[in-house]
Amino acid sequence: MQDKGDEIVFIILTTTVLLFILAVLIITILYLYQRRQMFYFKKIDSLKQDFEKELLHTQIELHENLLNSFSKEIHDNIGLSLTLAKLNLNTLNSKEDISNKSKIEMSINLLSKAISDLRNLSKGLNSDRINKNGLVKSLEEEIETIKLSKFLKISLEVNGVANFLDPQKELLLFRIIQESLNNIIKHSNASKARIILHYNEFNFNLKILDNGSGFDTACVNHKKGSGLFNITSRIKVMNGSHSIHSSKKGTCIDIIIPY
Amino acid sequence: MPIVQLALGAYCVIKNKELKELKIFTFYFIAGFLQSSSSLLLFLSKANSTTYSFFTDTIIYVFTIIELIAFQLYYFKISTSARSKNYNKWSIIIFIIATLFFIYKHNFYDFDFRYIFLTEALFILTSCFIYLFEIFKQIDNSDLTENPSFWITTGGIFFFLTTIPVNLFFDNTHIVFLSGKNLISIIFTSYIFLFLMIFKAIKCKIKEMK
Repeated sequence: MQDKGDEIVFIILTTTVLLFILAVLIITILYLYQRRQMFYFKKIDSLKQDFEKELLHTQIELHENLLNSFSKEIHDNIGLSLTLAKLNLNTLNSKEDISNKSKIEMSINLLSKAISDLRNLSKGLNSDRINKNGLVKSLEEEIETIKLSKFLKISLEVNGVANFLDPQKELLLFRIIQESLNNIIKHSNASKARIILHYNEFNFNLKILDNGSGFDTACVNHKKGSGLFNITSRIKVMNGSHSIHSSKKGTCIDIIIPY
Repeated sequence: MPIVQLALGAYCVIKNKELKELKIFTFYFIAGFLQSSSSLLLFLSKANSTTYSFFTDTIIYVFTIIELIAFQLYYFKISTSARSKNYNKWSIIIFIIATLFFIYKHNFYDFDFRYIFLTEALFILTSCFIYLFEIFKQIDNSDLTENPSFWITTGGIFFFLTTIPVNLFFDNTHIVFLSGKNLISIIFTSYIFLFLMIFKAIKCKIKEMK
């Protein structure tokens, strides 16, 4: 009887240990399987992000090339044609006819304005100039141009030591600011705007503020090609982050870009 | 055991708002505490063996039903498939009817409650394995260790699998009782492991909610 009891105790202990091992195996296999799946998902995600970034990068590069060719076309071809037209008008002899003289003068003035506007446009589109002068100087020139139109009062603040960022990043930041200023002029009804460049120890902080009517950040159009989409895609390419706060008193775009 | 159950029950009551689908385990711990403490009181009161046996068996039977309901309701709430939900719902009904039928058919005093534990283990283990199968099928990149149901299932599988041999072969009336009465400690150890796993699941849930 005692032996039979011991035998059953042995069976109980053995089966318990075996079932315990089985439970450990099941849980371990599941856990390892899930971890492997998670690892692959992360890998796919990172590949997807890299691909998207590369795509954005190429798109931006293409865009820049297009802008550069526009800029050159304006400067070398249209600008030249207008200048020649102006010179021709200057050489016209209209001393006898007073009515013609005033028309010629008016045309010369219009041509001068068109040449000046086109030069400014060409400057703004040309990325070589931004690469050569750096972000701060290019921005100062851009602000001066906008100030001439008297649409908007813009102030520029530079905090910290203005390190030269990577030329590619400076160009992207310049385009972001251009896009934002364009949005402010077009949609915000703002009278004042502030651009703050903050060169921190580990990152670069850009703030663009205005006193306009603001917009609903939730309802804003994030579609491809929209101003805000262009801004966010450029930030993404630079591995940066951003936040937009908007109210009826104005809008603040806060962008942080790592060096 | 009652102290552990009381502590966990109290913890669940305090963190009640964050528990959501784990709320059911609050009742489980409270019921466990009431079952263990009343069994202990009956033992200390030195009641005659028939009364003692009747009350402890009834308490254990009620607790087993609560345990099954707790697990099946939990899986009912977290499961995504309708089949699995149906299984959880019907298993509770079938278990209660079947066990009552068996008890009614046999004499209550002679009825071997190990069969109830075994049936319960089979029902809950099926739910656990269905859930594991769902995880296998799922295309998900979330971390399993951050998932409360993973810990509940781990606890459930360990507890109900490792207690099967004791429930299957250990017989109070048998001579085995003399040779291996310490084997009952397997059940207590498994219970402690199950409680730890539920506690871990609760911690995960609280973290998830925050």
